[in-house]
Amino acid sequence: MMDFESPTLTIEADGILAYAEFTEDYNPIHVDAAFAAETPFGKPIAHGTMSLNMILQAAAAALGNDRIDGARVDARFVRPVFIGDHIHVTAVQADTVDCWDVALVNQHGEAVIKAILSLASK
Amino acid sequence: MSEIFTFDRFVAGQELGVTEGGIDERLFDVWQALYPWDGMSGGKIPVGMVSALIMRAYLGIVTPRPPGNVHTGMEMTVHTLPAEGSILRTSVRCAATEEKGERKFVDFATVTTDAVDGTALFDGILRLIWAR
Repeated sequence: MMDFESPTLTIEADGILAYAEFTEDYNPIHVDAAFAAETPFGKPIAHGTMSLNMILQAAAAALGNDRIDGARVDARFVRPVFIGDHIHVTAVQADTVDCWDVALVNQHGEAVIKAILSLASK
Repeated sequence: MSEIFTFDRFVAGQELGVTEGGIDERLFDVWQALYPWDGMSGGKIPVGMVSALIMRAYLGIVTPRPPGNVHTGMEMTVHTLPAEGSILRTSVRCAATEEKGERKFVDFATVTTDAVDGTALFDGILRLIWAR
């Protein structure tokens, strides 16, 4: 079995702004504390893909960049990620070869993203 | 100023537009500051950029949007990573709409190819709760 993890990403306000610049996603739910305070989240949340990006990063680091062609990720954002959170990937190889159950986990051990990662057969 | 994209403007199967663009040095610098472990390898772009580039293309086409949309899920398939310096061409269409109680969901499908030679690069499906 080939399980893998990622480095930890610490979510900072400056990082959210930088990610907004990269994606051009200035949704106020991410970048406007006053707006976010009026939403069910109560405070700004990080962009979901800011964490999602780490799945392919971790897979490439653990398994090799050559495994990324043909990769498929099916992800659900199940919890918000806030400023100050520490996020990392845990990937457990499923019974099916070339398939992993993946979670992005916060510092409380809670999954914020659940995903299935499938790679093309070697 | 274009009319805002409200939920009732979306129809499943609707082509929403096409965008082309590259990744300039400034964007690479932003990326490296965020993810210092995710650099270019073998002349290809950093692997983690795929979902961010899908978002960037969708956001460039489906605009203006109501504030407060929430991204709830995403699928992506990588055919091959773009080479450094590639110009990417992404088309975006509305894949589905759904109302569940008071929540309104929109699925968008994206297809990204190399703008020069048409090589298939990556596809995505984004699911969002639309604010209004």
